[in-house]
Amino acid sequence: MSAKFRMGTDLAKYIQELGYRNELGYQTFLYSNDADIRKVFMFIVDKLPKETVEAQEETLGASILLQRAIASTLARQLSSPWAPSYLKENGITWRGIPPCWQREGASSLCHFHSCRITKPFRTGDITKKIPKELRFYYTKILPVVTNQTLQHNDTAPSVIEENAIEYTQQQEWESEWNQSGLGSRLSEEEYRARKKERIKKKITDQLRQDRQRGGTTAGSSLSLDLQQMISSISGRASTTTKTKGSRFTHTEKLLFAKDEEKVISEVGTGEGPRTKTEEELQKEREVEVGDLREELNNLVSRLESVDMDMRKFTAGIQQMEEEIGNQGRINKEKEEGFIVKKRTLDLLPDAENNITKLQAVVDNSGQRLINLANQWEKHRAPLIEQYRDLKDLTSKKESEAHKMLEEIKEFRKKMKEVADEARNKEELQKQLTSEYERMTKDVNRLAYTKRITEIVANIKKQKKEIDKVLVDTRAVQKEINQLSGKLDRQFTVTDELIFRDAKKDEAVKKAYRYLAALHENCELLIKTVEETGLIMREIRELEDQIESESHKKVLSNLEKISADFQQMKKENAAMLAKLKGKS
Amino acid sequence: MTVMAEQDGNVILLKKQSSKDCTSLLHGLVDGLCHRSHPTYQEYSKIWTLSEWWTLVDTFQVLIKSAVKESWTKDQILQRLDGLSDDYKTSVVDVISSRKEEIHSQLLAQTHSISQAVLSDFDWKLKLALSSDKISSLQEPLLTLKLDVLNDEQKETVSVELNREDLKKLISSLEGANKALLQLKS
Repeated sequence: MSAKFRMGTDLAKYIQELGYRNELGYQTFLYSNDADIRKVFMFIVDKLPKETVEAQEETLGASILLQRAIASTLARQLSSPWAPSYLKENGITWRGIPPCWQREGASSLCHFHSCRITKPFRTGDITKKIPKELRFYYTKILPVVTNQTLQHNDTAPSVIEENAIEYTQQQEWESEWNQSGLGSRLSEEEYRARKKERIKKKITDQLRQDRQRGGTTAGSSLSLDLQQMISSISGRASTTTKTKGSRFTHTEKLLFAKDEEKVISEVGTGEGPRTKTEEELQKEREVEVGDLREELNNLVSRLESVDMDMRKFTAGIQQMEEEIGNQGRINKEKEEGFIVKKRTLDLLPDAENNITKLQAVVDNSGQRLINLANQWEKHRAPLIEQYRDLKDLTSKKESEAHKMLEEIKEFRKKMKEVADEARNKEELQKQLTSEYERMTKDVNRLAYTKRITEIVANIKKQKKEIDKVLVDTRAVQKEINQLSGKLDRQFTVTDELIFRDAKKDEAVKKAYRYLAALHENCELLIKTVEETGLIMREIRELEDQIESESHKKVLSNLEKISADFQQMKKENAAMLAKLKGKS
Repeated sequence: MTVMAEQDGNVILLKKQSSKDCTSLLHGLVDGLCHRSHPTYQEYSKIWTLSEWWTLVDTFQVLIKSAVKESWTKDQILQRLDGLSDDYKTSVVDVISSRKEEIHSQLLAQTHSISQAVLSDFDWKLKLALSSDKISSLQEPLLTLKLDVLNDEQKETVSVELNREDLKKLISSLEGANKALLQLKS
C-alpha cells in the first residue's frame, strides 16, 4: 500500500517537474478518473515525440543527410542490373528508377595533377603600358590555358591550383600586413623590400655559420676517426651530388683518392704472384696503413700550421695597412704645419709693417664676424620659430596618424568579422533551405489548416446564433417591462376611478376591494412563477453537477479508498503486533 | 674559352630561319625549360639536321639560362650573339626580357630542391568505410594520400592511407614546419 502511495507521489512529482500545470497528486493515479488521466496523457504525449524529432534533426543534420544519400545511392545501384564498362563512358550512366545521371565505379578517375599556368600579368591596369615584346608574347605566342598543360586532363586541376595558390598568398599577405605591416608605417613596397633584405641576411648568416661549422667538424673528426670520414666521403663521392665541400673535404678527397690508388695498385700486385701468405699480407697491410696514417697526420699538421701562418700573415697585412694609414695622416698634418710655418717665416723680414697689416686684417675680419653674427641672429630667430611650429605640427600629425592607424586596424578587424558572419549566415541559410526542401511538404499541414478554418467558421456561426438568442431575450424582456408598466398604469387609473366612485356606491366599494385583492393575488402569482423559474434553474445546475460527479466514479473510488483504508489498518495492526512481539 | 668560341659559332645556326619564326621557336625553347611542351624536331626537320638541331637547342637554352641567372644587361647578351644580324639579336633579347620572371622562378624552384628526394606533387582521396567484416556499421573516414617524389630525376609514388588520428598527427607536424618557416621569414 505504502509502495503504491510512494509510486503515485513520485509520478506526480516528475510530471509536475516537466511543467504540468493542473492539480496533480498521488490520488490522480490511485483513484483515477477519466478526465484527469486524459489530461495528463495529453500533456505527456504532447511533450515527448516533438522533442525527440527536433533533437535528431539538430544534432545529426549533415552526417545523417550524407548517410541517407549514400544509402539511397547504394540501394539504387544494387537494384539496377550490371552493365559492362564499355556502356559507361568515364563510368557515367543514365539509368535507375527514376533514371538519372550517375557515376559507377572508380576506374575512370584521373589523378589531380597540376602544372604551372602562365597568364598575362599586370594587364588589369590600362594606364600602365605593357612593354612591346611582352604584348607580342601575350597576344601571339602564349597558348590558351587549355593548351598549356601537357595532358588535357590536367587543365582543370591546374586552374584550381593556380587559383588556390593566389588565394592563399593573398590571405597570408593580408594577415601579415595586419599583424606587423600596418604597425611599421611603411608603404607596401618598402615593407616588402625590407623583409626581403632581412631574409637574405638571415640566410647568408646561416650558410656562413654552417660552412664554418662544417669546416671545423671535418678538421676535428679527421683526427678522431679516419674510417668514418672516409666512408662519409666515399658516400659523397658515389652520389655525385653538386654539394660544394669545404676546403678540408676537398683535401680529404684528394688524400683519399691517393690512398685508394695505392690500395688498388697493391691489390694488383698482390694478385699476381701469390707467394705471400695471408698473415704476411695482413701485417704488410697494417704496416702500410700505419705509415699512411702517419703520413696523413703529418700532412694534416703541416696543413694546419700553414693555415695558421696564413692567418697570421693576413692579420699582419691588416695591421700594416692600418699603420700605413696612420703614417699618412701624420704626414699630412706635418705638411700643413710646415706650410703655415713657411709663410710666417716669409713674413718675418718686414715684421712691423706686416704686423700692422695683419692687425688690420684681424680687425676687419673681427668686424665682419660681428656683422655676420648680427645677420645670423636676424635670420635665425624667425627660422627657429618656424622650426618649432613645424615640430608641433608634425607631432600633431603623428598622433593623428597613430589614431588613424588604430582606426584602420579596427575597421579591418570589423570587416573580417562582418565577412565571416555573412559567410556563416549564408551557410546557415543554405542548410535551412536544403532542410526545408527535404521536409515533406506535408499533407498534414493542409488538413490541419482546413480543419482550423472549419472550426473557426463553426464558431462564427454559433456566435451569430447566440447573438440572435440574446436579441430575442432582450426583446422579450422589453415587452415584459412594457406590459408591466402598462399594467401598473392601468391599475392606478382604475384604482383612482373606482376609488372615486366607491365613496358614493357600496357595490363599487366591493368592486374596489376585489380589485385590490385581484391585484395582490396576481402579484403573488408572478412572484411564484419567477421563483419556480429560479428553482428550475438551480435544479438544472444541480443535475449537471450530479452528472459530472457521477462521471468521476465517486462511489467506486470511495469503495477503493475504504478498501485501501482497511488494508492500511490491517498493515498497521500487523506492524504493531510485530513491534509488540519484538519488544 | 674554347667552349665560348664554339657557342659563338653555334649561335649562327639560327640564321637558317627567318627572324619572325625564330621568335616562336625561342619561346618554345623557354617553354621547354619551364616544363611545358618542348618544340619537336619534326617541325624543323627541313631547316636543320638533327645534330645541328641538338646543338642549337643546347646553346640557346644554356644562353637563356645563364642570361637570367646572372641577370645580364642587354649589351652583355648582345655580345654573345655576335655574328647574327640585328633582327635576330633584338628578337632574342625580346624573348629573354619578356620571359625573365618565368625562367627566374623556374630556376629558383630547381635550386630549392637541393635534397636528394623532392616532393613534386601530391593528391588525395577521401573514402568513407561503411562497414568491415566484423562491424556492420563502421562509418570511418579514411584518407589516401599520394605523394609524387622526385628521386634523382626518377618519379616515385608513395601512397599512404591515414585515418583521422594519423591525419591529425601529419597536419600538426606540417604546421610545426610551417611555423619554423614563418619564424625564419619574420
